[in-house]
Amino acid sequence: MNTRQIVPRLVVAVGLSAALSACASGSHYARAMAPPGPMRLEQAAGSAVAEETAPAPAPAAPPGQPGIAAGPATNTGASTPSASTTPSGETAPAAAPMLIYTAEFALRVERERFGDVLDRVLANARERGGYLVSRNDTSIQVRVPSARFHESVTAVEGSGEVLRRNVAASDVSEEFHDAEVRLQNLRAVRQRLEEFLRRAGSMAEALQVERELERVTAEIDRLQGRMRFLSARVAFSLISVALEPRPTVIAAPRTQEVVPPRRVLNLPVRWLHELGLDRLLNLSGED
Amino acid sequence: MRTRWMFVGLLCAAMSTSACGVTLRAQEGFARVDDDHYDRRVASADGVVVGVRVMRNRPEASADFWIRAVDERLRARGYEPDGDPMATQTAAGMRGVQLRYVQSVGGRPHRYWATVFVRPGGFLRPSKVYVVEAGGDAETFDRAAPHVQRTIASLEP
Repeated sequence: MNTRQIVPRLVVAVGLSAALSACASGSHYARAMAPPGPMRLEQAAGSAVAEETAPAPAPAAPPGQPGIAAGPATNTGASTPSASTTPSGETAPAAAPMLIYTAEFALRVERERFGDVLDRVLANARERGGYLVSRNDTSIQVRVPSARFHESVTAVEGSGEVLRRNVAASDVSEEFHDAEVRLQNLRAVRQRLEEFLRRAGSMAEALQVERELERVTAEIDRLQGRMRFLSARVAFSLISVALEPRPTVIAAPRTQEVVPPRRVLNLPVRWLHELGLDRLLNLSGED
Repeated sequence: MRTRWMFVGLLCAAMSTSACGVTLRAQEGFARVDDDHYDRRVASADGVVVGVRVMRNRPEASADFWIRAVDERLRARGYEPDGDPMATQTAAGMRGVQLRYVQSVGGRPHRYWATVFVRPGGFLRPSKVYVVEAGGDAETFDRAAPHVQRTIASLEP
């Protein structure tokens, strides 16, 4: 096969792959994939990770910390599969949504209890298989297994007076599914490019294919990284706690009570009222 | 006729005594400057004045009562006590209490002393209250203080 034959075919192949990637939801590959249940999602992400790279813990958990929870990745605590049709016509459980839960709290506690409260939040997280993300004198961020997110939130709320509470769930199901489909497509493209490379008749052809192969490989790596990231975020929920000091009640200073002067009894004695320097020093006799 | 004139003379003497029953001798540097308000008053050329009033002890009360009444009245008018009340005695043996104050007049501190004597009543002699007032600019009064004390001590009912 010469260059004139390889290049057009190469162009068509790449173009088809791009088109397939953009239309992932309607693609044959998307329909062919059995909608994974909660466990399957993790396994799919894990397989995407394991296939191309050396097995790496996903997410990258700190030493001594548990990795991805073995339990379901769903954050709702109960997956409600929706029906979808497999190629055989049977109804298979639909994918549970991939939800990234985050919670932000502002708690009011006495300033001298800041350290104790932050320690308690971290201890609660670790008891549930979580780990520390960041901490300073007045705030802390921890990640806990998504399956234990709600009980972790309840534990945090009991640590102080809740001033602000913000719990959010971000559905990344579509993004993850899209990434999966594109990954599959790109792998197929890469496989074809490798085949083209083996059949390359000249150095020029080989270089051309190599460049394309490099681009596709980089795209595959990027997608895998993104899927790893999403899986990690889904598996472990983030809880942020910021502490605010309870205002110290300062006793109002006791203002000096102004005591009115004692009432002086006006005796009905005229000369008492005539005492004093005014009259004494009035030598002119004027009143 | 003679008896009548004697009676009139005695009556005048008695009246003059009851109306003008006090002696206050002016010391060196003081001159007598009577007026309608004081039974006796003397003054120095630099403004130190000593005057005495004699009142009937009505409502009849003890010396302690009148001393407190004078003190209350002066304090109510803003006179600042200058020391504790001091027991005093005249040359004639009358015992009294001297109250001392400081008062600002025209922006300058002035001394003011009020010495209270109460003479008990007797046969045909009502009880009386004697109040000797002394005062003046603090600067001149302090210089004349010994003369003021002797003037007060010269009081005779």
